[in-house]
Amino acid sequence: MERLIATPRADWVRRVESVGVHFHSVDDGPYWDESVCYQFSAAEIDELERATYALDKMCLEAVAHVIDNRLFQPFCIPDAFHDFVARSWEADEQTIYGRFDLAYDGAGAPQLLEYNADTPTALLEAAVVQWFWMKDCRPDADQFNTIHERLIEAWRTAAPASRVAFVSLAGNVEDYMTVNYLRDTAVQAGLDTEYLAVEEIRWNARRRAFVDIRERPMSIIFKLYPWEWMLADRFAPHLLEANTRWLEPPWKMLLSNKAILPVLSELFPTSPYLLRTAFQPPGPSYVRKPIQGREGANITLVADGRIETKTNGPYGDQACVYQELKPLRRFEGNHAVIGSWMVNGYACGIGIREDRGPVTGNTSRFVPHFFVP
Amino acid sequence: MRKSTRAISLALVGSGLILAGCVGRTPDSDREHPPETGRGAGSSGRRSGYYGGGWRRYGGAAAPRSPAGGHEGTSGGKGVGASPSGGFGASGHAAGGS
Repeated sequence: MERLIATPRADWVRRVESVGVHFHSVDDGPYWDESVCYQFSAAEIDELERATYALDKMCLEAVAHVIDNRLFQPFCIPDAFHDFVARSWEADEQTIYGRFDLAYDGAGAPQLLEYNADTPTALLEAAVVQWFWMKDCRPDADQFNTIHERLIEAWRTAAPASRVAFVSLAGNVEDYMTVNYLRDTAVQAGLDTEYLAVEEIRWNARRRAFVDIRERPMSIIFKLYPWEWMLADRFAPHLLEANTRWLEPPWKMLLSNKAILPVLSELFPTSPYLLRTAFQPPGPSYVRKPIQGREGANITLVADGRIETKTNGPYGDQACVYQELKPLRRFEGNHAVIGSWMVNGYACGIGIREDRGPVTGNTSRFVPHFFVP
Repeated sequence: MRKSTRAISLALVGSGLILAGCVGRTPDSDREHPPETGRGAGSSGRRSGYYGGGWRRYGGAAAPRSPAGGHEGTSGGKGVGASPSGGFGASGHAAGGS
């Protein structure tokens, strides 16, 4: 695993905007950053793929363990929704995608930092933008990336011959384009689709159904809107009476919650892919994370009893988990985290986020990768 | 064996119509709209987020938010617009992705 300096394409802005990434820049620089890239060996890619499959298998076993033993309490899921989650699992409701965030230095095993199992983004960048970058800049290389075709396959099995509504929060271009990329793959799978803002979902009391703005019942909804927010919203009670199938399914709220990390640690204490995590500090060095924190908010890094880094955010009053401190490898002063994608049961690609600081946040740069076959 | 997609084509994403559908959205509007005069589709910039200790300004174009908090009726279903909306999305967060 090497970080290489690269020459950005002269027309890179036009190229990335042409595939929908209009959020390529932040205030003080690029978000999509092709002035550098990462090179992997084929063996390293195989190791990342192996780790991703192993983590997915362990996560599914952990969900079964939580549901079978009714261990919902640490997840802070309201009591009224425990059966809602369990029914979704027992019905084997299909998942489309998820992204494992991994610490990896090219030497030891990749290790799970967290699992974005419900509302992962940086998808269009990983699936499409870096693929076109490779074709332009490294045409003789390969890339760990079959995300696009796996998504199309996923829709064929998840919702054959159905109408699927894709929803996201109004007013956010990144979420909107991500959802519409997913919608694009669904269209290519032959599905009938529509987009609306999550705020536009209506409740028809007579039909006891969620309906769209034309009063059509919404039988399948893909949402880029976290389950924990849905359960706190005013329509939450209607989730229990509607026949809508949700993507991601309700059981994924267990995996997107960091309370799953101590469960994984307990069930698989010898796994090389897991960092020890508990509900109490494991020792003088740890990372404290809110169980439903997002985008690197309210993270505290403690080394030998001393706070090294602390980020702000709105999740400060949440229950926390304490994860073994695993310093990320630094490449010329940059910390890199691997986002490894599971789509429809396949480990099918990676994206890399880079930051000067040790906590990956919403504006951490996305950097393309390739490997030498 | 190759580990990358052989070919990628996009049906929706990348079309000006899709981005205009975001930038030009108004509450209760339906799907994609043609670009409106004075509202460029070429936004850039990534959303606000926690990073380094505070909210950063999202530099790009953003759609107007639909007003949350529509009241919940009991007799809906009598035609377009009869059912209340606004029961989801009231979290106050800027974005739902992670």
